[in-house]
Amino acid sequence: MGFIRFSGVDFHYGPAGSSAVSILKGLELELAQGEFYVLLGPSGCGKTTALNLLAGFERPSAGTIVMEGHAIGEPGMDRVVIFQGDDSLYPWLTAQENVEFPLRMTGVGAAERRRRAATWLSRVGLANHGQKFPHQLSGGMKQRIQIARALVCDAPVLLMDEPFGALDAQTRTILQDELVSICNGSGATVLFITHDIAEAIILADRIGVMRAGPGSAVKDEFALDLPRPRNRGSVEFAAAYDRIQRVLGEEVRKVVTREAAA
Amino acid sequence: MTTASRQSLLRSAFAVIALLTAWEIAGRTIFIPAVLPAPSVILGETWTRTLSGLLVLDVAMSASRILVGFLAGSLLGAVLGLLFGALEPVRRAFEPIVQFFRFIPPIAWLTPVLIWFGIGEMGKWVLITYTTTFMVLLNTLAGFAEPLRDRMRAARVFGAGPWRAFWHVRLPATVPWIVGGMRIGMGNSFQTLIVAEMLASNEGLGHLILNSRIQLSTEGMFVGILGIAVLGIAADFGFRALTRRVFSRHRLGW
Repeated sequence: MGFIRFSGVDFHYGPAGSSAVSILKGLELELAQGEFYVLLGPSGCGKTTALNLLAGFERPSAGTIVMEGHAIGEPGMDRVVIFQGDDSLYPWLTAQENVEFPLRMTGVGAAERRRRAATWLSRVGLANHGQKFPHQLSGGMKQRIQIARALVCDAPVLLMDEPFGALDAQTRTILQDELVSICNGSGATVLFITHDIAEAIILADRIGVMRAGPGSAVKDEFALDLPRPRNRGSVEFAAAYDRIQRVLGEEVRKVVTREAAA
Repeated sequence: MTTASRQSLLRSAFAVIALLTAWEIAGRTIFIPAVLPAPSVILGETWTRTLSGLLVLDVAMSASRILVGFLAGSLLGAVLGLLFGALEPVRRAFEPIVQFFRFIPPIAWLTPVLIWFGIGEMGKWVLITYTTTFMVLLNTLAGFAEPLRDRMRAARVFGAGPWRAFWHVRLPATVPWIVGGMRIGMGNSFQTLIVAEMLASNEGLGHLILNSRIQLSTEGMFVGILGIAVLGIAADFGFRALTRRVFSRHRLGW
């Protein structure tokens, strides 16, 4: 029995019927406790929708999503989200205050709040930038604030929606490695969305490759039991990359062909 | 100060001095003071009126009317804007009324306001409040069109209910819009103020302008006109300096 379980989940925009735009159709997904699960798929396939459903931002049109035996309800601190891009940070708050935000909302005292936020800021390498505002920091640093803000909650589940998608390749690699060392042994269950195969292999315990939409679902799953930290140049890495690429490539080609025809 | 900003300051100063010089020459040679008094004549008149205390009274009355009406209008506009923005049904209910009143210029209300509130201060306060309210209200509402999807979602994830999400996310995000509306509203307040003072007042800069016409004192008229400009610039400068300080966390754009 999975810790988190999607059973027969459909999601479509608009009223049911011929005009509805089907995003997900019959999605089955199961995450074990403490597992790092990466959803990989062509753009527009509905991976972010799957994450939004688990976060509670959207409701499934059909099917159920259950966590520890309870149906998913409103968004909450048991499933914290690291958003794509930096539109979720509060520009009028400093880095430190952004990280304190969840603690402030839950009534943690000022001193305790400052201490815990400072600890996480230094763990993500921003110890000296706490008093800066987001617009004074680089894209990579802003995503570090988001990571600190999510992890300060000690949440059992982390939801990451292409958090490094907008970063340059070097910064992205560094943050991937840092995320591995932060998550290792934290016990948190992670759902991570990406379209980058290398990123998936560096991070995942298990990878689910999604079909091209509309009406997407998981097409194939890959378990990766390589030891961490993983080496991007290793033979095992290349083999995994090749296996996944064959499955994902087929779906990406479908999207490209359809776009060319349209 | 950087070289570029020093240069632009120098250019502005040059333009002002050039204009004043040309005006002075024109005032002394081409025109008689009753048509276009030279700056030196206006300055002398300003000094005389300052010493007599009359100008001080006019400026103080105009400034106090702006201040009261502007503050009341800003408060009312911001509260209504936030209310309408936060509660969609309320906005829908009141939108036709707002749109209707929006096109009635404040001065159109002068006569009914005189009937209702008399020639005293209340009438001017009401007119300036009316002017400011719409500017602040509409600008605050425009702020609500700013999509805050991820910021609001993050608020929900990180433990804020609807009320706290509004207080901690929507409100701070709307601050620059409210303050921007106030700045526009202040500009419009001056127009309302002057017309109201010209038509229904016994003191104030607007009254000074009209009264000078009756007394055939062109210098006095110009003292009033330039007084409005100086008061306006001072008010805007003070407003920008104050809001920059108070809302230093928000990038206001000035």
